[in-house]
Amino acid sequence: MSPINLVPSPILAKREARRRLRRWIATLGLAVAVLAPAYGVLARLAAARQAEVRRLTGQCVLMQQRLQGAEGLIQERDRLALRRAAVGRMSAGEPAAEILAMLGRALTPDSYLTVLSMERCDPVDAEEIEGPAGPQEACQPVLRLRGRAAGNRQVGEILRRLGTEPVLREVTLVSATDPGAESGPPEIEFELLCVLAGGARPDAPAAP
Amino acid sequence: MSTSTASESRASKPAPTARRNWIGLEAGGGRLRYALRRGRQGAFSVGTMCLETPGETLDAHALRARARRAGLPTGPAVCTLASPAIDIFPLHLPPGAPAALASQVVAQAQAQISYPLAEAVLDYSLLPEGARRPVSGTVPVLVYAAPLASITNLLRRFEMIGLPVERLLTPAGVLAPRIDAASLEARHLLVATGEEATSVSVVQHGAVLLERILPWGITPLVDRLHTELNLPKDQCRALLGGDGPAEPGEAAADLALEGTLQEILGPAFSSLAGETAGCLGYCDSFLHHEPVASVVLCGPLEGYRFLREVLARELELPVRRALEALRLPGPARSPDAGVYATSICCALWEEEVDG
Repeated sequence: MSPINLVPSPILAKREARRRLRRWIATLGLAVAVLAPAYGVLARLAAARQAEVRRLTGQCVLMQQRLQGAEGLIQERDRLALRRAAVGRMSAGEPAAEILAMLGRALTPDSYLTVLSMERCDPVDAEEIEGPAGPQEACQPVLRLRGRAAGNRQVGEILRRLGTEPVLREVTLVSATDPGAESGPPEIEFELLCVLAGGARPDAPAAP
Repeated sequence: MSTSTASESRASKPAPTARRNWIGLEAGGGRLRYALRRGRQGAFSVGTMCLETPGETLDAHALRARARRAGLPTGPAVCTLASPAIDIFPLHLPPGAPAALASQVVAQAQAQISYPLAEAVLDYSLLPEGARRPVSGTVPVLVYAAPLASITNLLRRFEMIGLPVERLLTPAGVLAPRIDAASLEARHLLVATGEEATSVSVVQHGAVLLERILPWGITPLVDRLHTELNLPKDQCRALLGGDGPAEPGEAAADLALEGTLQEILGPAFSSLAGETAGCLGYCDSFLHHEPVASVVLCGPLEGYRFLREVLARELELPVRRALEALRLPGPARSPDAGVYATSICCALWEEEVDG
C-alpha cells in the first residue's frame, strides 16, 4: 500500500480539527439533549423539596412561637401565683390596731415614739429576692421604731416587752444614743427593728 | 515549508470513521471519473463528469449544479491525479531514522524540481527491500513532488462539490496493491491511460518502484482524429472507446476505419510504448534488475485492441487488461471496470488499508 498522500498537511490538519470540532459539537449536543431533561427533572424535584422545606420551616416557626407563648403563659401563671401568695400572706398579717395596742403595751411611762414606720417589700421584689427558705423568708414586713426613753434601762425594758410579743418574731436594737440635751431630764434616743411574724398588713381588717 | 512527507502524512491520517459509502475519484484534465461503493460488500456505481471544458471557469454554484446533474456522490474521497506537473523521481539516501530520511528527502528534492520547495507538496515512499540492489549501502526512496497551488486549487474545487479528498496520490499508487496475488511478487509494467496524461509505472510486491506521468492521453488522440478524419469530437472519442463499449475496435471496424485509425494512432501508441520501455530501463538502472512479467493496461484505452497489440509487440511482453490483472471484488467486475479501474481501486482503498 502506498504511503503517498499529496494532500498538503495544513489542509489535512484543518480538516481533522474541523472534524474534531464537529465531533465535540455532536457530543455537546448529545450531552445537552440528555442533561437538559435530567436537569429539568432535578430542578423540579429541588423546587418541590425547597417548597417542602419552606413549609416545614414555617410550621417550625409557628410551633416555636406557640411554645414561647406557652412559656410566657407559664411564667405569667407563676408570677400570678407568687403575687397571690404575697397577697395571701399580707391579708393573713396582724391588723394595724393590734400592732398599735402592742406598741402601747411595750412602751414605758417615760418613753415615747417619734417615728413609726413599716417596711414591707413589693411582691415583685419578693420574687426576685429569694432567701434560703424561699421568697417568704426573704421578704418579711419590718416595723421600724424610733423614739426616746428616760434611760438605757427604759430602752432595755421596751426591748424585752417587744420580745415577748408573739406578733413580733425578731426585735433588734439598731441604735441607742444620747442626744445630749442641755436642759431637762436625760434621754436616750433609740431605734428598733421588729420583724412581724407571719407578715402583717396594718390596713387589713381585724381578725374575728 | 508547504511540504508533506510520508511520516507527516501518516501522523495526520484522520481517525477511521464508520462509513457507509466509499468514493474513488480519478482526476486528470477536465474530466472526473468516479466510483461509488455502497457498503463493504455493496454494489459499485461508476460515472464520468466533465468538470470544466477548456477555457471554461465555473463558479461554485455552477460546479455544484453540474455535479448534481452528473449524479456525482458526495462525501470523503480518495483521489488519484494524473498530471505531468507531478514530479516523480528516485533518491538514494544514507540509511537512517525516518525523521532523518524525511529531512534528507527535503534537502535533496530541491535539486530535482524546477520550482521553489516552499511551493511544493512533497511526499516519499521507501522502495521495497526485495527490489533493491543487494550491495548498495543506500536506501532508495521514490519522491513525489507537486505544485502546491495546483493541488490546493484542485482540492478546493472538489470541496465545492462536496468531495473532501482525504488522500491524493498517483494512479500507480492505488493500482499496484491490486495486482492479482498470483503475480504480486513479479515485476509488472502498469499503464494507466487518462484524459490528458498517462501514468506509466514499474510495480512489484504491491509497491511502485518508479512512475512517470506522461502528457499522453485520450484528449490529444481525439484532437488528432478530429483533425485527420474531420469527424465530430464525440464520434472520435467513441472510436477510441472513451467511456463507451469495452471493445471500441469493433466499432471502428464497422466503420471500416481500422486501417486509418492504426495509421493515425500508431505513432502515438509507439511513442507510449517507447516511454514505457524508457521507464523500465530507468528503473533497472537504479534497482535490482528483474524480468518483467506483463504489462497491465487500464483506463479508457484499455479495451482498444490495437493499443494492446502495439504495446505487446514493442515491449515484447504480454499485455493484460485490468479485469484480468487486478483483484477486483465481484460487484466491481462490470464490463467497463477497466475504464474505471483507477477510481474503483480508490473506492477500495479503505479495504486495502484495513487489509
